[in-house]
Amino acid sequence: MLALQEIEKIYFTDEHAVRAVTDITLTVKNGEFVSFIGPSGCGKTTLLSIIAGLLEPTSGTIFMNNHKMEGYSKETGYMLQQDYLFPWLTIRQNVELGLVITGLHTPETSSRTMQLLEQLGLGDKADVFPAELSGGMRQRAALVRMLAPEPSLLLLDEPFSALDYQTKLKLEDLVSITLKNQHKTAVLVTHDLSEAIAMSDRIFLFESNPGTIHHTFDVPEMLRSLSPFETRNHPSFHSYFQKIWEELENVESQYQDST
Amino acid sequence: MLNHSIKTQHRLYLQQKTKEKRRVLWTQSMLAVTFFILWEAASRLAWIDPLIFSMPSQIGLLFLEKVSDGSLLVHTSITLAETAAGFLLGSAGGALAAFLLWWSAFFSKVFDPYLVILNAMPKVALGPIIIVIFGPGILSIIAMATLLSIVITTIVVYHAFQQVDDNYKKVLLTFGATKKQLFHYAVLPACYPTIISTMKVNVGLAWVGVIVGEFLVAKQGLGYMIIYGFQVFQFRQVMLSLIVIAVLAAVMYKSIEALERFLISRRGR
Repeated sequence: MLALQEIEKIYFTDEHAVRAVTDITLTVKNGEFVSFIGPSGCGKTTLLSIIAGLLEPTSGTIFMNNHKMEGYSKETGYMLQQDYLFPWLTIRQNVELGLVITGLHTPETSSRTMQLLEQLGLGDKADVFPAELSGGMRQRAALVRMLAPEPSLLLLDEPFSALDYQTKLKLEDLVSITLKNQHKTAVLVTHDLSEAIAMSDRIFLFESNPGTIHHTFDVPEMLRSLSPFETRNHPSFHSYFQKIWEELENVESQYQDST
Repeated sequence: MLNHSIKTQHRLYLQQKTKEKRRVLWTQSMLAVTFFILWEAASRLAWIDPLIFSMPSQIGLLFLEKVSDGSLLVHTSITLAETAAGFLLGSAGGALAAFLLWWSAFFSKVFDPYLVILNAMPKVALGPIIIVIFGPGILSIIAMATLLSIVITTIVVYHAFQQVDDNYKKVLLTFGATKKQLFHYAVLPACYPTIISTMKVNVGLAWVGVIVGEFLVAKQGLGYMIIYGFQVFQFRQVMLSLIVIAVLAAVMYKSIEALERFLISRRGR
């Protein structure tokens, strides 16, 4: 279980001290998929970076399975908005990068990673360079790179936002199924409300200034059990979308009024 | 049928490419030949002063003479060794300094104004100081060649290190990479193209440093041949040295290019 307790992050600039996020307390069960949505500037990406150990919180603590997490943890994997595969390395070298860096690179982990690459349909691309792959293939390779050191908590920072619509829908399904099969816990940051509903078990709606949780939505059971693509096509999807949309609008207008 | 015609067209395309290559090469060689013939003729017909500009045939004779008495080989190898040493010290030293600046932000802030001054300074003006420090010999010449390239290498390579996309580093940081790993796996490989092109510039700078150094202090070397030929009004010798320098500098430049191609083919880009 992932538990955040009263996380606060303050940024300092020459002019101001800005409270990016404040008073964040939440828990995510093992195997659960949650999303952070909200207007830009609500600190959702900052919070993700804090969980990943890339940023230090100004105050507050994070527990992973009752162990305090400080800085980098082997438990977490992180996926960026774009693939950022290293252009000078082959796909094989790219996906094994995490193993090399963490010192987990052995013949076993290497062959396991190759199996995963094959499962995601990139088995024949192991020895080519990233420039020869399409955007969707590259993001799949980035997914394998993240999963290679076998993290249990996956942090997804808008990983589908740079893809075309069709690729995005396919990749959502692929990620969702891969993570469910491997029983991973996941936190997704996204701008896209329908993506959040399609993929998550729970949605945290953030508000800005300072960034904090405004409301939590439990996605209905019948939508949770479906794949993201099926969820998008389910009759009840639209009405549920409307419900959260209104709340999102509220948060945004509230923010605009206050500025 | 269609396949056949595509093959024919491809063959035609390749033929055209070789044809163009051959034309370029032909024109290039004709230009060189014409230049030397004109030079020879102009000098013989006294359109230009043969005492000053000499002529290719005379230079060729001098070349054979200097090769057979072994003196050209001595001069050339000394200059070549000095240039190679200056080039390697300047490039490696500059890259190392850039690494240190990258490693410590404090360091780089402290040294920033000094780098600006050192870079703006015409290094040749330091010639007398260098000779006093290193003595009137090969060491001074190497020091001059090194000094000419080390500062600009430091600045250019450090700048390239800074320009590396932070997201590549972020990828490594999400795996808990150390600073050393960031440098080894992201920063350095991302900067290979810049480092190679800096090396290409450094070849030229090292030659400038060595020739200037030899003008000032040397008893041997191609720069010495130039300055000596000038003093005794032996312009044949000056021209011969110039041609040898031009050929050698081009060969050095081309070998760096070959290294570049080798590195790029390994990265498959």
